[in-house]
Amino acid sequence: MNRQQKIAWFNLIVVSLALGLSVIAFSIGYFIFGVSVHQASAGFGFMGIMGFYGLNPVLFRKGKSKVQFDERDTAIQRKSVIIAYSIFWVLFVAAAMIPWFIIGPNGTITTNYLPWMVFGGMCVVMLLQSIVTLNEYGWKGKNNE
Amino acid sequence: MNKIQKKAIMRLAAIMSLAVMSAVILFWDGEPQLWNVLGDIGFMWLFFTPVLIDPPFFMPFRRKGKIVFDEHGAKIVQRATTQAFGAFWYVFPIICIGLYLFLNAYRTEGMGMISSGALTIIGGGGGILIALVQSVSILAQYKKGGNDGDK
Repeated sequence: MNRQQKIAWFNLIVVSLALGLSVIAFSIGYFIFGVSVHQASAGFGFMGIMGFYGLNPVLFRKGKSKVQFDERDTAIQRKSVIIAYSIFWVLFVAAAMIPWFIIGPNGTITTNYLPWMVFGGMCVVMLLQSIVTLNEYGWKGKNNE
Repeated sequence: MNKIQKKAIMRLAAIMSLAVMSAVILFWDGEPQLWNVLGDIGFMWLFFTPVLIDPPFFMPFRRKGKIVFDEHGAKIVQRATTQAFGAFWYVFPIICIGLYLFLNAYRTEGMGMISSGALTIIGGGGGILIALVQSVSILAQYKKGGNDGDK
């Protein structure tokens, strides 16, 4: 497993863990304890786990004596970034336009929606980039050193 | 001057005309409806002029049999796109989190609301920012390389 795959696995685990725990905490609060949506949304505090994404350069250092990134890796990285940003852009435009269509041009929406757009966008990009990278290399059984 | 540069110049011209039109209407009249219509015209100008310069394969007036896009051009566009999305990821979180903090915490003590129209401006602004940075980067890279891209 090469450095790109390790980073992709790490990012995928971090994002999945953050999203999974957040949804579980929200569901427990809302459905089991019967608290309001506003109170149950405190469960999304688990999204802070995504901060581990910043440890990538520390955990997966570049080796000095070995070529670790060739043309194939560049092509895979490019493809993953293009796919991730293509889907992100569609979702970003939808997130910006759908409230206008639903509540009308004179409607208002809570400002909590704005950070959701940012963190949702980050999640989508990280998740898709990791999945496409792992899919391009092959999920298992291939030694891509 | 090649097609990539022409497209970049057209985009810049479109953004500038959009900005000038909007500013003139805002200061001259302040009528939101008229402003919206002119904004839509600006958007059409922004997104359809590059198609006229480089028509898709199904358009009859597309020039055939000529190389208009080589590795050098592809590399420049790729780099410009990377820089454009990099700029977007600096500006977008700052705008969104800044608005959230300003409206939610400072102005209305936790009960902040934002107009649905403002969200569309954020969406459109993101597109305009990317087009602007990409165009400037393409033109700057060709100029820096001393190559006028005369294809």
